[in-house]
Amino acid sequence: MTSTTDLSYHSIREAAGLIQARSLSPVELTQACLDRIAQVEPKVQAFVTLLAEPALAAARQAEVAIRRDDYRGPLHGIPIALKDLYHMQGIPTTASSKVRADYVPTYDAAATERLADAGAILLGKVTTHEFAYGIVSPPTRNPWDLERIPGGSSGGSGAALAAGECLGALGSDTGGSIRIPSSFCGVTGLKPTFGRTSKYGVTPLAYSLDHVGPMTRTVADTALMLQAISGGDPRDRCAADRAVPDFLVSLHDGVQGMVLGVPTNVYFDNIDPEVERAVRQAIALLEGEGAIVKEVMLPSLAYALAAEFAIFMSEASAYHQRDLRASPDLYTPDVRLFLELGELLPATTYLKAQRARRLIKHDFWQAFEEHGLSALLAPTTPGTAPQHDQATYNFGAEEPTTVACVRLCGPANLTGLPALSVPCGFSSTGLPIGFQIIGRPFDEATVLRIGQTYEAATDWASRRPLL
Amino acid sequence: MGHQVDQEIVANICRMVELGLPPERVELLTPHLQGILALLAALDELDLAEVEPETVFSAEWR
Repeated sequence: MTSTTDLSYHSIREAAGLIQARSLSPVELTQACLDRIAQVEPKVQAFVTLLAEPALAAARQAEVAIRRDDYRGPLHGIPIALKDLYHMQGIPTTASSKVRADYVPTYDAAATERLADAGAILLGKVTTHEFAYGIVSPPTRNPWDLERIPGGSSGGSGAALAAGECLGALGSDTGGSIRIPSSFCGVTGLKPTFGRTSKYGVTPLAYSLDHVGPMTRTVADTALMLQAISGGDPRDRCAADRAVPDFLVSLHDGVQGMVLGVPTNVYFDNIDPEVERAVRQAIALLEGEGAIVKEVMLPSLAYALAAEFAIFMSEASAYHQRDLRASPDLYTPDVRLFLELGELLPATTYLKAQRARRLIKHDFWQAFEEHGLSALLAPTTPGTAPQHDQATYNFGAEEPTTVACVRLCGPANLTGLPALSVPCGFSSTGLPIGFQIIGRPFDEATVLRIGQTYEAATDWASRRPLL
Repeated sequence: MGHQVDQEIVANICRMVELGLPPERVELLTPHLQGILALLAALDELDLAEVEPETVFSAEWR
């Protein structure tokens, strides 16, 4: 007999196969997730708004539809959680902030709408660091060690997946906010290419750096969710009006002959030796699978952290300008401080950062072209999940944890390149480690293929925390 | 280039951007702004020459 915990830990792909074959009911699966939420939520605290009754009602509708042979595809009947930045008509969207405590949107975000159209069961809203501006995501705890943060800003998404509370989740990523919690929580997360997915109806942090993307427990599930949410959208002028490929068709084709780059600067500076060892082993594994590994230098990467901070601080403060003046006390102290600081930066600094961004983007293009790269491989975060009161890492040099994580993740936001974080091991203290695969623009298919090759050769994705 | 700021400068900028902050808030902000400016000073090392920003205007109607 399958326990409800086993059901809620199914991959989307496994569950979809069972649902399509009518050997698993969407109602049974949704109830299993709700049971798991009831069991672990007092410890994990990932959900802001739980939509138990609407989710069960939607699951019953899915069950009836599938029984009538109206099967919509692999997300039909699959319980999914939304980061609390995603608008959902009639449901509070608080951005985990008192500033938006009473905000109830009258429309769905494009991604919410697309998931619902695909038949997904929207289980509820999960925490974000306030307005996605940080990596702590209170009050959520890391299921692998409750004394540690889940990462952020999509911390609720990462924790809910690791705890088996849902089968997939949406996150958003401005400087690593999908990949950081994926790494800390031992799950898989993709920041797609800028423009691959619509940002319509997602509360912004920084207009030119925000990305909407999926988080799941396996690479194939990430591909399935990406398939559902990708595509142009006239309501988001950044969403690219270009064909969406089938992300699953080449997923199992391996990496034989692919050229993979390993950066020699920035990404491996000041990182935990355990993280470096795990990532180097992952690179060696891919080499063993037939990839050709080349070291590459990205000279302007040294300026990426400064450019990332100048851009997101300025853009975030522009978005919050009115609320910051009207109700500053409603913001949490750390976010208020950052918003005030962003107000004090000159416009010339912002534009200088946007000019530097162009150079950084050019450097990435040059490295990919000169070496014929399919992707770059690097650690996702410099260390494992910090403790709740831990403000800095010290791996040779003391560095604030947020700065350290943005240092490794931010370049993919600046360049807009797709970046997938995949679990690649555990520390000696049992905490997950992740590595990122950064690809060519709009080539998520290759990034996913590399991730799938790695995942298939390891068992990290099947491990569960003890809760 | 390391931009040096003190509380008086921060208070003046806050007034200029109509961000009315009390002195204790200015005091709190000043060292943090100093730190951020030190981080951003890295950008001054770049020779940007004729490089345009990644914020190009598009006249397309959409």
